[in-house]
Amino acid sequence: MSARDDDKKDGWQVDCRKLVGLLGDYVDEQLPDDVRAAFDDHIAQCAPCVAFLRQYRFAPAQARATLLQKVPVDLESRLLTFLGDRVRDRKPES
Amino acid sequence: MSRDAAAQPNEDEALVSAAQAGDYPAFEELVRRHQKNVYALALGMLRNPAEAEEVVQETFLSAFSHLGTFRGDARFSTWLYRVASNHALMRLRKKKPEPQGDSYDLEPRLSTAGASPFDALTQWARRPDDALQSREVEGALDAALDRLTPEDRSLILLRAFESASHEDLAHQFSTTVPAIKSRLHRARLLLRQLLDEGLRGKPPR
Repeated sequence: MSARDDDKKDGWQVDCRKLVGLLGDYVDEQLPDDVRAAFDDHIAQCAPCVAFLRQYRFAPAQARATLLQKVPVDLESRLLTFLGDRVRDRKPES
Repeated sequence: MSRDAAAQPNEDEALVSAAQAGDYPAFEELVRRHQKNVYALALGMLRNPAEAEEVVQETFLSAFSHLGTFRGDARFSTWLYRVASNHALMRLRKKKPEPQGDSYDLEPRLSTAGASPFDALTQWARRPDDALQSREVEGALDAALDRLTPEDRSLILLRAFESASHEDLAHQFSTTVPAIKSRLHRARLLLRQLLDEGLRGKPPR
């Protein structure tokens, strides 16, 4: 019997360590309802886990935002010129 | 001015139909709507502005050439970012492997941190709006992204930019869905940890 099966005997309970392993499925909304409920119960009373979850979510979103700030302001005009020179008079293949 | 493409997928569909029929200005509008995200995704994966711009060019040339084969089974943006990531991944695979994040020892740090592995965390994600403006966060994120392996960066960014499905990612990385979920989770943990360390001023290991 897996550790998860053991947990299920008395309903799912999540401690700090278990929470780490569940984070991916939690933020991707792939946890079963009972596990998600146990996860939510835990973070409702565990400030360090709330902070960790927030950081886990925040880092990829912040990476996206930071990369978008690096787009050159003249990329669009350069790209349209580049493409126009090559495909403007062509029709997409079907 | 082009509108937010992510918020207007139905308009993408109309533009694609027009472009497929030979309406070049419709294709140009698709370029305007998506070029920033494609560039940012490529830059994040490749970490090189010149190469990122080449990938953007290749992506939209490919998109134009193969637009006729796009049937609308997925969103146009999903299809486009898949094209972009394929171009970026091809470039990454031609390069020599770099000794980066794979050698970073994540699990032992989590398992030896005591009863709670979350002690002494900084509060850098408390106010993301403030952090968005922070040069400190930007610098720490750049350093953290540099330390991840190209594949881990790619997984995180494909998920962040287009919510690529686990099935799509598994296909692109030639592995299984459980394997990709595990790797994505580990990559996210590592990015969080590297960013945390960067913001706390720990020297890179």
